[in-house]
Amino acid sequence: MISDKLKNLILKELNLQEFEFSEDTLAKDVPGWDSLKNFTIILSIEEEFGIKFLTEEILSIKNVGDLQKLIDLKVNHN
Amino acid sequence: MKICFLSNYSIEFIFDNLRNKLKDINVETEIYYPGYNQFLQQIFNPQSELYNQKPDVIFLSIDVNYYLQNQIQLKSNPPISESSLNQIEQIFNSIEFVCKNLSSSTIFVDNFYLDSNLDLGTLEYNQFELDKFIESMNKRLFEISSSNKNIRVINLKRMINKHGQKNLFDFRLFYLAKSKWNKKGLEELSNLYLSHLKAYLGIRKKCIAVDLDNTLWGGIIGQDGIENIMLSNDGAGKSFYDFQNVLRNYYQQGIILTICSKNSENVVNEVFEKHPYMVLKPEHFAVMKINWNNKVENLIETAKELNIGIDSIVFLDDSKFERELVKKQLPEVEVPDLPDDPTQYVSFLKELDYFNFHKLTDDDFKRNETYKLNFERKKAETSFTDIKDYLRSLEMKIEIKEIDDFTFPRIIQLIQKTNQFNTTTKRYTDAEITKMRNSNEWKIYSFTVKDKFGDNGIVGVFILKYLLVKSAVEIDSFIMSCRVIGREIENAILHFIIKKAKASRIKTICAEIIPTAKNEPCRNVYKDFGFEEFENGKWKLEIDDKNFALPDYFELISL
Repeated sequence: MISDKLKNLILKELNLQEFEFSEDTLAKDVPGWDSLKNFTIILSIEEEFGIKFLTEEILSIKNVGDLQKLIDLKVNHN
Repeated sequence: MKICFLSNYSIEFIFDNLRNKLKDINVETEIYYPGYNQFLQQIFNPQSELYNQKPDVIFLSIDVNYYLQNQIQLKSNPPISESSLNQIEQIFNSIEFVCKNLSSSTIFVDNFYLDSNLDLGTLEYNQFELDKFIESMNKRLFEISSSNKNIRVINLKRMINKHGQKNLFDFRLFYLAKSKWNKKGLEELSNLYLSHLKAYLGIRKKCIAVDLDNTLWGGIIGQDGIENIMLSNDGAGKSFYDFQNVLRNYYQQGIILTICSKNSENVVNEVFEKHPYMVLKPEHFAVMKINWNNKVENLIETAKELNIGIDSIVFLDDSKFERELVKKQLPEVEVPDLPDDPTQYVSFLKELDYFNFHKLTDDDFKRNETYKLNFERKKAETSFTDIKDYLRSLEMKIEIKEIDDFTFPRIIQLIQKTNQFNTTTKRYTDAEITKMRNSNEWKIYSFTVKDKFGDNGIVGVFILKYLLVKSAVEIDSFIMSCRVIGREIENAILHFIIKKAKASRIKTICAEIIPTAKNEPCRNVYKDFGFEEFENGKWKLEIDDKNFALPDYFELISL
């Protein structure tokens, strides 16, 4: 499940009205989500959730599901 | 406005941020970015997109640390490899090359800083000098900027010093995305670039209206008395003394200072006369509203007396009540929230992004004197019953001159910032004016006005477009500083234009009025002179069979 918080944050960063995210959604499936936006989204997530990713964690994210799992892990760990 | 970014790192992270900030101040931008690390190819190839696009502004954001990393070697001093030195040499060549070959663009260059990851620690300044080498690069940049008038240096190093590298950089991004700015870094970088763009566009405030009690000194003069207010050159009272010094610096830059205070004039005068640490004196203030009236009214009157828009005023007051009142009733006035602690006043004032200049002209230095003289003129005006007698008594001399290198900066300044007496409000850039100068079709003039009270400097610009096929000349722009409005100078200028036109056997003068929210003072200039409106906003005057007499209160000199 992709949380509304994450979904809204991505929509805001990409300037999108609506998009149906699933766990398998890849960045390239979402309009405007390029490598540049990738980092602005990561930085916004860190700010919004009060967490910090390691470089290798950033590299390990393959789809939106991975991203959500990583956020949940970090938030719970705090 | 067309902006081009040239960089050796991924500067595109900043684009959205900067674009939004420019949108907030109503500047539409088109950004051209040839891609990461393409700047040398773009600059040295005359066929490149860069020269094709001819952007108004180019940002050269070169981080020299990318050329220094892995090239530090402790065999020589500065401890940098030969190949790295060569690359740096090439950067300087490219800066000079682009300045020369794109003279129509304004080029903003970041100055250089040393990334603390390359720091030599305790060896620095004892055996090796890497930091000093960076300084020598910055000195070289300053020299280039002194000899090329289309380059502006951005003090990136100072911004980074102020906030600190640890707060601005994120090395995950450095390794993954070829840019090390974190969110705060991008925000500060964008603010810095915005300040420079504002200076370039002439977007700035003209006047600071200050309160007195708890603003220029601590305490309330009416209650505490002159010996008890906080103002000194030592201790807590020094914060007010320092604050006044910063305000005086703004005064020297040509920012108008005024007072807006609820107080009794005689009590305040005692402070001006007797307090040893009053840095600001009555002569620094163009208008002093010291009374018990509503501050909103006082600010409206201040704007009127100075002939400036109410939106050119920044209002500084410690009282939240007064600030909220002004914010609510005069939303155009800029009302920053002064910090509660006066020791923060100086840093707060310094951070306000309202007064950005790249170069101060003679006129900026002289502006406050002129306002003082205007005050005396106004006083003199009241002793005449007939305006013509008054104008005659001024002994005005108007000198009209075609544009040259010396008048160029002031002309650009007037074109970019004059709002009130500006018939068409066409904001021509350096580049466009340079192009017009080189064309036979256009003539650009500026004029100065002197009178018995003093010299007002360059106060106006008019641009003529010759339409020879129609045997007509068009007044494309007619701009005059608000300082000299109300003295019929516009009529003298029209006489000059007619005289010139007649000499070239031109029969018709055309002109246009494009109304804006602010240019009311010039709307009737053509109508009052006898032009005829042949289309909405378009005016013309047939001159061949008519004689026009210049009023006797002007002396017109054409240089």
